[in-house]
Order: sequence, then C-alpha cells, then structure tokens
Amino acid sequence: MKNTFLIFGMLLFIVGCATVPDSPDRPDITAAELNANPPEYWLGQRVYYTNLQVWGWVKRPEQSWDDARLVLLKEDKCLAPHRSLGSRTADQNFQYRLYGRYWARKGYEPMMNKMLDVFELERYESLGQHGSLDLRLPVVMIPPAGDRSHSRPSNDARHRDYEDIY
Amino acid sequence: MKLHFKFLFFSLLLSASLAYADEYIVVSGGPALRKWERERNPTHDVYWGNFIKSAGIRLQQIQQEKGVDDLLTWVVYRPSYQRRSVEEGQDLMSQVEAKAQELGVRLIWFDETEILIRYLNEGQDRHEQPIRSLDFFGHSNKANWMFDYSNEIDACSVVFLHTRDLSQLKRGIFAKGAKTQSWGCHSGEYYSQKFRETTGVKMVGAIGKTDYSSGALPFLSSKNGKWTN
Repeated sequence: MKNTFLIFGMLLFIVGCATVPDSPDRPDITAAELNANPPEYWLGQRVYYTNLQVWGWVKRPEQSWDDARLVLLKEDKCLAPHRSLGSRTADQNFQYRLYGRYWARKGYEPMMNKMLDVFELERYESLGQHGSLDLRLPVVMIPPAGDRSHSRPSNDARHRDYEDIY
Repeated sequence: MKLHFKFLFFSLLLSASLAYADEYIVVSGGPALRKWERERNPTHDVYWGNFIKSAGIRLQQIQQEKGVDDLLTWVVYRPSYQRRSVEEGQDLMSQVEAKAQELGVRLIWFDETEILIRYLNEGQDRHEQPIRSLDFFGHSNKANWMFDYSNEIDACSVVFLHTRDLSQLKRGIFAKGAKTQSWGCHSGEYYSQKFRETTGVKMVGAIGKTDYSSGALPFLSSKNGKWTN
C-alpha cells in the first residue's frame, strides 16, 4: 500500500513537470520559428520609452497586440521611420506595415539588461497614429530617474535579476 | 656527495632559467557607428580609436613592467572596426595592426565572445603560462562588457561578455596575485564582484562613468565616481 502511494506520488510529480505552459515569451524561441510561414507584412507600433533603445511592438496581422513582441530594429537595409522625422518621439504610437523578418541573433538592450528579438526592416508603410498599447515592459535594470513608467527591481531581487537577461 | 650537490644546484639553476612565463592580456571592444550616435547627447565614440589608443598606453605600461619572457597579447573585437571602416572611408584594421607592430605586441582579432573565452581559457597552457593581468577597454554597464555597442544596432549590443557567462572562464587560468581592471563604465558596481566570485580574482572597476576623450587612460567622469579596490 505504501509503495502504491509512492508510485502515485511520483506519477503526479512527473505529470506536474510535464505541464509547464508553452509561453509565447519562452526564451528559446528562435528567429526561424518567428519567421515560419511568413506573413505578407507585419504590424508594428512605434513606442518610445524614455532612455530605452527598443523600437516598439511587432505582431502578425492576425495576432492580438497581447501577443506582440518588443523588438530592437536592425536598420542596415532601411532606416526606422522616425529617422526622417527629426526626433525619436515624432512617430510615437504610429502603426506601420513592416516588411522584413526577424534577424537570426537577439540583441542586448543595456538599460533593460535584457535580450530582445531583432526585426530586420526592409521597408514600411505608415498607417497613422493609434492609441497607446499599454503593454507591460520587463523589469528595467536602470530606470530613468523620476520615470515611473518602468517597473523597478526590488533591492533583494536586483542582483538575481541582473543574471536573468532572457 | 659533492657531485650530487653540484647536480642539484645546476638543476635548480636550469629550472629557474626555464621558469614559466606569464601572459598579460589587453582586450579592446569596438567603437559605435556615428550614424547612430551623432544625434545623441552625450554622444559616444566621436573618435573611432578610443579603445585602441587607451589600450596602447596600457600596453606600453605593461611592456615596462613585464618580464623578458612574459607574453603580451592584445585581443581586439574586429567587426565593429570593419563596419566603422566603411563609415570612415578608411581601413581601420590596418591602423590597429600597425599600432600592434609599433608596440611589439601579439594581436589577435576576435569576432565572437566564444573565441575570446577560448583564448583566455586555453590560448596558452594555463598551468605553464597563467594570465598575470587582464585589462578591458570598451563599452560596459554594470552587468556586461559590450564588445559591440551601438554598431550593429543603435545603442544596443549583439556581442558581449555578460556576468551570467563569466562561469565559462575556467578557474585557475589566472596567476596568483593577478591584476585585472575594467576601464569601462559602471563595472565596479556589479561586474567586478561577479568576476571575483566566478574566477577568484579581484577586478578593479569604475563606480560611475569613465571618459576616454583625453587621449590618455580613461578617467572617472561621474560626480562621486571612484575605482573599486
């Protein structure tokens, strides 16, 4: 009887281990996976966050914005739209049809201390201004002074967070 | 008996003359591209050779202090100089190579962090030739040495040595009493502690920012900035 409980307990443990949800934010998601079945275009929303180097959020047209990915932009083939507009905030909350693909490497954003997907832009079409997306950013390592838009690590968690860049 | 003593004496003399030499290593990261930095305030790397000139000064210092048989190696991150060469319209790699030749040091280019780590771990037999000193010149924050910065991607990095990867350095590659220093910004705020934890070797790092613009070794540029012990 004791052995039956033990085996039942072990089975529960194994099943429990196997039911980790397959989050879209799982760290090992590759550019190849993101680029699979490429859409005709991607939808992007430019969001400038003080001091951060991210471009904004990108998703497939059929996806919800909750599934959008925070991206860095690779601009070797095409410069970001704001480059010709005079300031980094000139196209805040503009939406775009983006043509291009995810770059094979991820990039390190030094203020966030995070690895992010890199979108290699080939060309774009502006869809004009839209409302704020209000999507949640990961914890930021170096929050801009006086800026409350970023979540801050607690003192206890800070050093552990430094190692967690994915 | 007398003969044995003579043999022992000459054996000791021979082993002293064959004493293992150490290696001194200086690492240079790459410059940003002006096309990303031009509009920034403060801006980075107006001069492409910040991490070359400062490393050159340190290499000259080491030349004065190292033993005759000690190795002096300069390890430089290449891709950023290649891309900046295109922007500058001049061949920067050949200028770095000329500098190494002028200083009489071995130059090793690296394109990926794994190559640097492999060199540090086993570029020489580390039992016989441990690392006596390691200096880093480049962009950094408190948790990362960024060999590529604001070059491939505006103000971000794709090639770096993060504290989470320091465990890839083998323990025992450094000589006893080895000196290491990060000349980049903010390393003393976390990187130095983590480096010591993982390698057992102290690293001097900056609390606050460092500035390379004087053409000499970088100086502390933050109010209340200091070097860690």
